[in-house]
Amino acid sequence: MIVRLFASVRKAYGDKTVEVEASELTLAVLMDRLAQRIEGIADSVSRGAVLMAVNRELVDPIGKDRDRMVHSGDEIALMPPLAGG
Amino acid sequence: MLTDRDRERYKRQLLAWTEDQQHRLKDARVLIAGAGGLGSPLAMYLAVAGVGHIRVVDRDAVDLSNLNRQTLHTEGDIGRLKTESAVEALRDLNRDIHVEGVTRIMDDGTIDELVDGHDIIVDCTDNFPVRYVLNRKAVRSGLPMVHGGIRGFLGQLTFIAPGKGPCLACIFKQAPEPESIPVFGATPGVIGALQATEVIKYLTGVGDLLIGRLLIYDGEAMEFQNIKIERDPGCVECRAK
Ligand SMILES: [Zn+2]
Repeated sequence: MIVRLFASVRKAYGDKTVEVEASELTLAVLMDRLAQRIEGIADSVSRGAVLMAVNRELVDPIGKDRDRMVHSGDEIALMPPLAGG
Repeated sequence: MLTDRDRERYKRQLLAWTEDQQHRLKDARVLIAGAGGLGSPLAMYLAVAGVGHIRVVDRDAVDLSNLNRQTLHTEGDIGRLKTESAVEALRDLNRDIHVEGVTRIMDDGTIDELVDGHDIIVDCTDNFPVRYVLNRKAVRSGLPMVHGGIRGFLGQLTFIAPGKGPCLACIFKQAPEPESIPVFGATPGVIGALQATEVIKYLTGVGDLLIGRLLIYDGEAMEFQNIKIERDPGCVECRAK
């Protein structure tokens, strides 16, 4: 399962994508796996300082969407708000 | 009424919309928050399109390091207030409209005075604390707001229609960590031009506004994505409004 990273998340991890070894899991488990790889990501997502989108829809992987299943092939992205102007 | 000069000046865009719609642009009052990377192309495109009343709010002076992206200002403007050089540049583009610059901090204490009397807010600011001030005002006054943001090769855009779609705080619960934001002019050029498109669509009534959708522009991949966004029933700003 591939998660695309944007902006400061990409900078923090040092790559455009992160691969999680699984064909399907819940968003809560995915977040746990990502937290082992990207420092501070669970905290940033829970505060809303980083957003997660699944198949071009915003999700809340720590709150209401935590039990939602995602599968390999789903388009998953982690992106912070872009603050510049 | 459109003058003969208006008909000549706007001849080519009067093929895209009617004289009546052009007249709506002429009557419109647009508040532009920020005269930087986004504010420059946004303000220029609104001015040349004939938006009749433009107020630009910014508190800063022009710095050499602004010039890689802030195309309203020139080398000769370094050290001047951005509102002054912006107003001058916009008047040079179109003497037939009213342009006003206000050098003020935008906070909850000043925002009513800065925004009241305008039809739409355009968020061209470079930080989230001021964006939340604008968003709060938009929600409280039921005013539409076009949000734009950029970083490096990435840009984002959405149209905030209070009561109809999510507000900025529904989408972005918290500002990102402060950092020195990478930026080159072409990215705010893209997003600022798209913000101008949304403002013109709103004022003329043409097309479908970017409500409930967050547009993400990725210049590295050269992709645009629409991400579906929804109102947050527990939103601290727009709940029960
Ligand atoms: Zn809201």
